[in-house]
Amino acid sequence: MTDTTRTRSKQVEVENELQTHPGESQWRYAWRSFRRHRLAMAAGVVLVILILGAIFAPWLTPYDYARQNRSNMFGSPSLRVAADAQTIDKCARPQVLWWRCGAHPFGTDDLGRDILTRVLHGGRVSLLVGFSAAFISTLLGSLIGAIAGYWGRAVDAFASRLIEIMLSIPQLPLLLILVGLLANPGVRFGAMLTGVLGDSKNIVIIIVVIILLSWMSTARLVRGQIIALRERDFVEAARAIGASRMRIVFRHLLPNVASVIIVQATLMTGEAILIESGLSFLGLGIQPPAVSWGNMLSRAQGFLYYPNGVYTALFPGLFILLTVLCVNFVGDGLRDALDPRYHGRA
Amino acid sequence: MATYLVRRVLQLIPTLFVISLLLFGLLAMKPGDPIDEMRRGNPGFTQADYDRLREFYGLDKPWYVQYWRWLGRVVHGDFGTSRQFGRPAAEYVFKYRLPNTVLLSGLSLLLSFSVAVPAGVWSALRQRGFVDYTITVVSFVGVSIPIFWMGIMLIYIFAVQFRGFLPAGGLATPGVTGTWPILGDRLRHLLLPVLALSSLQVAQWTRFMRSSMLETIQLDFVVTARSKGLSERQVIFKHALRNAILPLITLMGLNVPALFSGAILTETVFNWPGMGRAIYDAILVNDFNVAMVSLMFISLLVLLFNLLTDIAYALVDPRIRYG
Amino acid sequence: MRYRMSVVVLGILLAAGLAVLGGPASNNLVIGASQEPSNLCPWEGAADTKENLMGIFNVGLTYIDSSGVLQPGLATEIPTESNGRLVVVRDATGQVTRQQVVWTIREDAYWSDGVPITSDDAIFTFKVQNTQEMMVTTRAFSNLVEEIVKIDDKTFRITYGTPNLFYSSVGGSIGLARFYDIAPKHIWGPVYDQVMAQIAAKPENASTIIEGQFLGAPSSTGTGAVVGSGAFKFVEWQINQFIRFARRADFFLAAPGPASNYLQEITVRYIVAQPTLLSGIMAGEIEACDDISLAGMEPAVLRAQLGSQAVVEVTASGFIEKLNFNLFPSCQVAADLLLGDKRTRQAIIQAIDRDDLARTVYPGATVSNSFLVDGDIGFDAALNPWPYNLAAARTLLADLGWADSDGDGTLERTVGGRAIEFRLHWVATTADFRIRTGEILQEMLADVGIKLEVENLPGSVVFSSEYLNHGSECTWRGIVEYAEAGGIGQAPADPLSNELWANDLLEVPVDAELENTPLPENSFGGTNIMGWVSAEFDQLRADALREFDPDKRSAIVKLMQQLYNEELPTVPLYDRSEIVVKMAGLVNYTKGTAAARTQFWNTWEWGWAQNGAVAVR
Repeated sequence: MTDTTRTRSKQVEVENELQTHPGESQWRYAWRSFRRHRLAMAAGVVLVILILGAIFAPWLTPYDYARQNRSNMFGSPSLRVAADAQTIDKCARPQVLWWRCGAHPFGTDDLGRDILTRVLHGGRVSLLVGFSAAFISTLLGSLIGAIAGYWGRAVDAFASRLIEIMLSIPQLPLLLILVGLLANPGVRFGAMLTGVLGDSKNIVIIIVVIILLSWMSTARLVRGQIIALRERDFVEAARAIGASRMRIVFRHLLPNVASVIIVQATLMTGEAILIESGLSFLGLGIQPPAVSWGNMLSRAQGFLYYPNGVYTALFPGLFILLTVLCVNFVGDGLRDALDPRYHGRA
Repeated sequence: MATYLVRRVLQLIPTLFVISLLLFGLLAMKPGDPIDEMRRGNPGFTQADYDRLREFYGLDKPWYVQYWRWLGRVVHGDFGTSRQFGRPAAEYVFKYRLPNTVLLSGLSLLLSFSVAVPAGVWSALRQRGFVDYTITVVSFVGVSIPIFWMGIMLIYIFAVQFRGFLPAGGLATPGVTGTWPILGDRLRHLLLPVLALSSLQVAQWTRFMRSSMLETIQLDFVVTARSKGLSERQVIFKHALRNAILPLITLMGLNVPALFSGAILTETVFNWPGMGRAIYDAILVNDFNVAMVSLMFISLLVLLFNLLTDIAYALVDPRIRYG
Repeated sequence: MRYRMSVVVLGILLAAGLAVLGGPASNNLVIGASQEPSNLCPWEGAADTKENLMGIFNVGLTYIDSSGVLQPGLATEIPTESNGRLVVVRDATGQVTRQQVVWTIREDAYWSDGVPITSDDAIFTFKVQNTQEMMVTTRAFSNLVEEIVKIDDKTFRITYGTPNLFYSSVGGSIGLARFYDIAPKHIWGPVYDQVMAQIAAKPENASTIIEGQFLGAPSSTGTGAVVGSGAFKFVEWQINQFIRFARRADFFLAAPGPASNYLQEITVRYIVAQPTLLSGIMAGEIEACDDISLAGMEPAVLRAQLGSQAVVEVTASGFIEKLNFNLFPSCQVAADLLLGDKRTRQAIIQAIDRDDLARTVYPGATVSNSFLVDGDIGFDAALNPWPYNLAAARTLLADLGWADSDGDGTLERTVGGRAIEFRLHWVATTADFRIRTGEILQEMLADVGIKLEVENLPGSVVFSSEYLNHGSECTWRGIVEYAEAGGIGQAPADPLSNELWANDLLEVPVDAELENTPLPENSFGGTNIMGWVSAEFDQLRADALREFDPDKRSAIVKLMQQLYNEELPTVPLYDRSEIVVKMAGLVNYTKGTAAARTQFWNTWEWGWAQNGAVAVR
């Protein structure tokens, strides 16, 4: 029994080993490997659908996300259209594909607004924050980690100490303090930001704060990788021909670490989305009348006891779950595909 | 080894110092002081009054002077009074809020551990099978689910739909007497928050346990044990598991401090009077002393636990040497 | 096997915790509230959180009985001119310029620890209130008091420099302290002396000393003796959880029938989140809630959820939610929008469907058109109701020179070459119903071409004087919305009430200083945060305050309302409703009259009908 179990898993592993094609680039191989990871592919497709849905949200629904209809608050989810919906619902357009004005597939919220429409629009904010925060944070972290790893000594000591201090401060409270400060008109800096950014101040603040608090993990990771790669032959060779340090870092080291960075960026996106929704839920993130999944949930808490009130909570949360889940599956698949050491482990 | 230890412990102090300076500075930037309230209700409040009172209360000094004063009091053990509750800030945080968080986090830690280890091991042993597949998917869901949403849904199902079957939050019902009813009442209030809080942890740790277990099984000493003729059960549980569990314990150790401050979302949804919520409320209403003492406590915890895990690593892994 | 055992044990424990407690069976009451007070100090605190709580274990010099009539509480009788206790000095025109009131405390009035209540307590309370360094919440009323003099152990005389008709008002808030005028000297005296001595020794630590030793005194945090004058006495305070009280045997007021028929114990549980509160009610753990915790909930939903086990009572609160406009000429943004012109405000009030708004965000609320509420002296119900009228609003805006020249839906006008868009800044706290209000107003005003810029800020920001009192410097640039108690100087003393005056015209000779309007000259003090200056209104108000004849006062107050209704320095939205939920069978837990402003009076009358309590209100 024991032997067969062991050999079976070994066998399966051997079977799953993807054969490399002659002359194939690392990326081609990675793509083929990714394609074989069914869950990740499916998740990727769903993610693309979500992203497209968010981008084209204004054109995909018959409703305006802010248009209230106070005679139809807490409507039940249904695909059927109410009697004289056209006049009541003041739609932006009468029909989009099969979706007619007056039908509310996810129901309506506490001010009569269509929930599906708001979920789609909320996705724009949440996805924007998630992707940009993750992307920039990973870039920043990679840069700092690479410089710290390659320069070594004093620079490394300083960077490592900085990372340690930042990681020791309780993350969530620091987030709260920073957002509270920057969004507060009474603080001089906050008032200045309002002047410069206007309406989009909140989104920018959240993105900046998330970046400030999440670059550390990427930095550590990249630093470790750089240190490991530092003594390798090709780096030695580059140094021998007199390449500058910056050039070595950017042209030789970072590309080798690229796969790790990509995976990190993907996984960070999920985290950033969760942080943004958590902040908005606490009331510090995106402020109404702008809509994000987090602030939809924040309002929904008080309506659980209302008939149909649960739908205002159910759907935004479900979409957060779906998005983050897909991002995580895709990230996992990428890790499988790009980093041969993880093959079969994850 | 000893020198390394001493060095690390000593390094804690300047780190804490820098952290306290940073936090104090940030908190001090927030506008609003007690004299505001007095001024609002008094048409006759003159600028002279305002200046005099500010000077009286030491509020007109720049923030670094106030920080110095705060530091001076702190080294004498005086963490000031909570503006919200009139009690000594330290007493408020450590006597009334910390135990609640410890209870919640401790139980969720226990629960997560008891579920993650068997699930991770099982999943590793049945790699690529149906069991592994299911556990993996469930783990992914657990990692992706927003905790506060899960809390809201749990409340909806168990407190709203099943009319008060489980309470929708709170710590306990006052007036319950007798050991068994008290225990039962506390358990009822703990069930949902612990479930919500554990979801993320269970998922993360299961995956971690699984990969750790997978790595360990391939290692030489396991192959050796098998070839010596030991039963599979012995091989797995006596040898492999012991080694595989170490990284998980390290991860747990690093996660513990985050439980204290990061449970704020759960505590908000379930109205649980814990430290996370205390920090949030203190920041919101500018209750300086409470915010500083709890934040410093958690920072200290993080630094301590990092140190402990490093030491544990060094002790366990003979390859690591710290000079 | 072990697994199954643990499941069984778990089940038993869970079931054990379901034991029903309290209620009629043990003659107790569990009240659910959302805002826990910071301390039990009588001089400091915000109204909402503490007033109700203090009312459980304190009683005022007077109280309102079941028929709405003012009765003496701690006092032997209510001072009137006929019994000689009230002496007024009138001037040539018959208006009151000074008054003296003599109070005598009952012989059988004792503190909950058995010490008799004396006039020394009253004088001590005033002394603390007047100590400038003390963090008292408001001196709005105590500033009216010129001096307080002891006549004998039970009698004292107050001399008012400014006339105050409501010297004997509901709750007995004559201004000696924030909550319930008389604080126990034998408890707080030593605390006060010690604090003042420490401050004298180390003035630079004053704030920490006061926070720690005065506001944090054991009698204030519940860790020491908390002594009150009312029907119940303090038992314990588990912070963030609950506060408990037990009935006093030696209280001098009683409801019909034996005292054992009424509540023996009261527990106030603090639960911040509404869903948690509601689930507690539905589970029977909470038997009543206070008047502010369920704000904004839909009564119909509550009734549907609770069925016949509970009674849902909707009453007027006496607090008017309103839009305050920035009328300062020095704030350029506001001045550009012509907010100072009354036609703008009239246009805005007609562009808002206030019925719809009130119905949606605050079910049970009634639309208000005045700064008074029904029940206040002189309340005029026949004012212009400013009905929802988009056409009239548009006409007024067009008259002012606004037009949508570029077709983007927002009005513009040109002034001296500058193009100005009608973008109106709106600020309110982050309370749920205010967030919804912002969104609704945005939509309503968009229909007339006004773009409302909504900003919800935490209460600590909105109500800080740095923000609210600096409208002249454009900290808030359009509208700030909050609620204010109706009335022009009625008790309970609320620092937000009566914001419409600028000059109190009390100095002799009358000066031109606008004490109440926050401007650089008076260091931004005062409550008239809009900057509305109307000499006519100030004169009427001064006249009304000095007129003690109810009919004459009514007439003057009516004129004030008409002026207000026409000028609309603030746009009143609705008189907030209060929702009180209580278990069936709980009697006398109700407001009675609108002027009472809370149902936490007369705690000695609270009881369960099942135990024989008689309903008197």
